[in-house]
Amino acid sequence: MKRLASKLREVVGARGVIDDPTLLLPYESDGLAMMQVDAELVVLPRTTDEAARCFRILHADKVPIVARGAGTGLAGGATPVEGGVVVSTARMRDVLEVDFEDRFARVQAGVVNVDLSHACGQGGLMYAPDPSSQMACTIGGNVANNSGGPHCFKYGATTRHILGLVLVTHDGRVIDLSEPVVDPVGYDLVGLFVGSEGTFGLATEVTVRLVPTPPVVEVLLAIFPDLDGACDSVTDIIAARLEPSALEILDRLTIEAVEKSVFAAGYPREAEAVLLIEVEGVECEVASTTREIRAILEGHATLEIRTARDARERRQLWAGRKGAFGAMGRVAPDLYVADAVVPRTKLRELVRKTVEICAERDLLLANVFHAGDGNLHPNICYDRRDADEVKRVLEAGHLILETCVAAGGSLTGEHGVGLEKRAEMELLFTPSDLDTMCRVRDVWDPERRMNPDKLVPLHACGELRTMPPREDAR
Amino acid sequence: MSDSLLAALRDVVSSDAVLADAGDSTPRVAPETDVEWSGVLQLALARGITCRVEGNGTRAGWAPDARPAELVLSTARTRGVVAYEPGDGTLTARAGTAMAELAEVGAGGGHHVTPDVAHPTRSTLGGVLASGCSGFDRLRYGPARHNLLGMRVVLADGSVASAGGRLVKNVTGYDLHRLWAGSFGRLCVVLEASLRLYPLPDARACARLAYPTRADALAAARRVGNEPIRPTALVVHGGELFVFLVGRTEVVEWELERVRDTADGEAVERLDAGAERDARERLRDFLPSGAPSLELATRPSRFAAALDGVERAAHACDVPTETVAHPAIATATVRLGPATEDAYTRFRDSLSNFDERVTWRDVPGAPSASLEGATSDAAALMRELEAALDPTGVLGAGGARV
Ligand SMILES: Cc1cc2nc3c(=O)[nH]c(=O)nc-3n(C[C@H](O)[C@H](O)[C@H](O)COP(=O)(O)OP(=O)(O)OC[C@H]3O[C@@H](n4cnc5c(N)ncnc54)[C@H](O)[C@@H]3O)c2cc1C
Repeated sequence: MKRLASKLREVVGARGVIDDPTLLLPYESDGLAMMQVDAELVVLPRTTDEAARCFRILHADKVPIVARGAGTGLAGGATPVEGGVVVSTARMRDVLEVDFEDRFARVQAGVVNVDLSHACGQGGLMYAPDPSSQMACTIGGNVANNSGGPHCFKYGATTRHILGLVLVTHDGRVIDLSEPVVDPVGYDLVGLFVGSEGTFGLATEVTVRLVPTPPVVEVLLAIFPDLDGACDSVTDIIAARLEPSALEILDRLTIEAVEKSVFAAGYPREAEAVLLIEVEGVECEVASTTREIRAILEGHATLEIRTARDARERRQLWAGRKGAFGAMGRVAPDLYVADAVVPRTKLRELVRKTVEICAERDLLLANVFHAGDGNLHPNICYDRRDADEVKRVLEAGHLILETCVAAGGSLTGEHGVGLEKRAEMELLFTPSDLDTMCRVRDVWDPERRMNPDKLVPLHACGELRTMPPREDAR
Repeated sequence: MSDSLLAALRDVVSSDAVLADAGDSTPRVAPETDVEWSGVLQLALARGITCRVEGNGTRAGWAPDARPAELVLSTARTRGVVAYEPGDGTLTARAGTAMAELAEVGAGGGHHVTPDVAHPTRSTLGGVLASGCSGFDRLRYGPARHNLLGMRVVLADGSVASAGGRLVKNVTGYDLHRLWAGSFGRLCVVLEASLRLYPLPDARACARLAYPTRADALAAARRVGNEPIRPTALVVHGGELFVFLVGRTEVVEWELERVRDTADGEAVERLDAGAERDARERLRDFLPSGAPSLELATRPSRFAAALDGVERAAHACDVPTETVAHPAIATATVRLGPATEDAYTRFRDSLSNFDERVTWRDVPGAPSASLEGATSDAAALMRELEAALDPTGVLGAGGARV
């Protein structure tokens, strides 16, 4: 590693390589803190060219490569389980171009999601995908995970907003897929790359589509005496084919945590659940959609429906939602953020099931989720120092996934498979499906050095076993 | 074609699914079930036969055979809606189902099915997705691939594989369906696909604005495009601009007002119900399937100049044109009229170094669906993907992509 570090320094300069064990600590995991592995070496290129030169050095030595943005992932995606070198995009932070006329922007992969929004805001445009982690997560990480966010209910996940990419492959080739026109030339390599969780290569530049900011926005907060009413309201709003731009549910425990935190949004503490609804568009559209949504809410015994009076109140209501995960730190030292999708016709039934599964295992559960997309986030509070509790958390997490899949759902709506859910891939996909994924992966990375051990269960790729969390994972 | 192949095919599919015409036309087989599809592809693999996949042939000329096909694999019997979930806004159907049938099923439950493609009664879901085409309604709903939730396919070795699913949000596993969409039958045969649906609009209307020249109409389209309205299509045909609006009744009325405000004193004709539908279908279906055409794709800011460039080149070579332009998404379909072979050749040559992307369709001798414009590393990767999914070229007639 020493020799490698000095070779890499020649490319990226002294500040572009981290090998001091204390400085390496943050790289031992992402947001899935229960799975940690010591990082050996981190390199921080500044440009596509530097990244490509680093990759060629690593290729010559057959070193595993783990791409890393901000490390906010929640599935262990950026955790260097097989050792090797972590390639961080933290020094690739330039917004290269914002084209207001043709409505696209070209950025380096390490640009933070919210910075992109700021860069295009003055021109009346926005980058729509808004993960709750948007203050920290990078566009490259969003691309790799095909991230979602509250407004993806209306605008769709990251993949719908990516027009082009510049990539570096495992052997240091640069592939330029950045032409921002409407359809791919040949096969849709961009569409295939988005969501590949760092296993196909490193995205160094991203061209994104920008959309006009809506002229009118209204935010409603519906307050419920139980979680069922909130879930049923969402199911009915979808069935009525109404088109708000976001539908988010927060349960009592989450509300309590938020209200005690700096994100306090004025959510009523006596509520068992709140449903945060945003409606946007032109004035008459917002008015009629809101009216119909209100009628549905009233049919589900809401205690109260509040409307944000101005932009400040809207921001406050959203700050509570977006800060909810952070606020949970008040409830327990660690949070396991599960992520599953269910058909939107079955929200109530499956949310109840998650509550039961956690109650049976004496686990504290907080639900805060993208209800409009059927994307559940049962957040289980725990303490990673308590081995038995960790075991129960993992068991509950697995059961929740099994239950959702059995009901026609899926393993992940936005956080990805990463390290965490490889074994569960077999709940959803046949050996033939997985084999096909492996064949495609091998085209991008025949040596499987890019983010090894992630996404696809190992034995599906012709290896030995489905891997539980590693023994040495602390 | 040897009788032994026909006999072997009849062993794996019901005998009426094998269509072997007398004479020299290529035999066709139309499997129905997954097992039949697997059996046919395994047979083709074992015998080293090159196949072409066919839906209903409406876009067959977009990617003529890269190699002569010895067997045509038809999705004609792989038909039907598998699941329509009105409460979840999703629809899953088998590849051979006509788009018009999907639209009808969706409408029954209050949903709009996108893409709204040309010739929907003859276009199959599998063919539409495999040819990477999008709908007339793309401006509002996005390209077809963005509303594709998942796919089930059969690969060249007969294995059946799925990717994605039937849910509106899902990031589990690689998005292989994004690779398969637009692969022109070269990487797989699409068996089934799931789509995200949209609310069927309460109201529809179209504003028609007539200008002296196309340039004026394109300029007007830019003004309309900057308004806070969400049309399904902004279409320029000659000097006419059509703005197709859908949605809640009050919103459509409001949007019509905004269009009037931008009209710069020009008369705005409002087309309702029947007239709107006629205009939409006429513009959507203006290109008969199989007619030679050129698809232009660029950026909105360069669109007018690019379109002029194409047409000037055509006229300089005596190739007549008729264009339906979608300026807001910077694409245009240019129908090429009758001309001599020499004129076509000169026209193609004159655009060989054109700065914008042009795709030739149903133009004899033109490289259809080609990779012109892809970097060599990207093209190499695409070739490797073909080799990985179809090492011996069983589906090698398809695509002509790489
Ligand atoms: C509080 C909180 C709230 C969150 N809310 C949401 C939410 O609303 N929606 C949502 O979807 N997610 C959410 N997440 C999860 C996470 O923020 C997203 O997955 C995010 O996209 C990760 O970005 P990152 O830059 O932190 O990537 P990392 O965590 O560093 O990496 C994520 C994955 O991407 C790969 N990767 C990173 N950069 C690149 C690159 N340039 N090229 C190739 N591969 C790369 C990594 O190898 C890894 O597999 C949340 C996380 C937290 C902690």
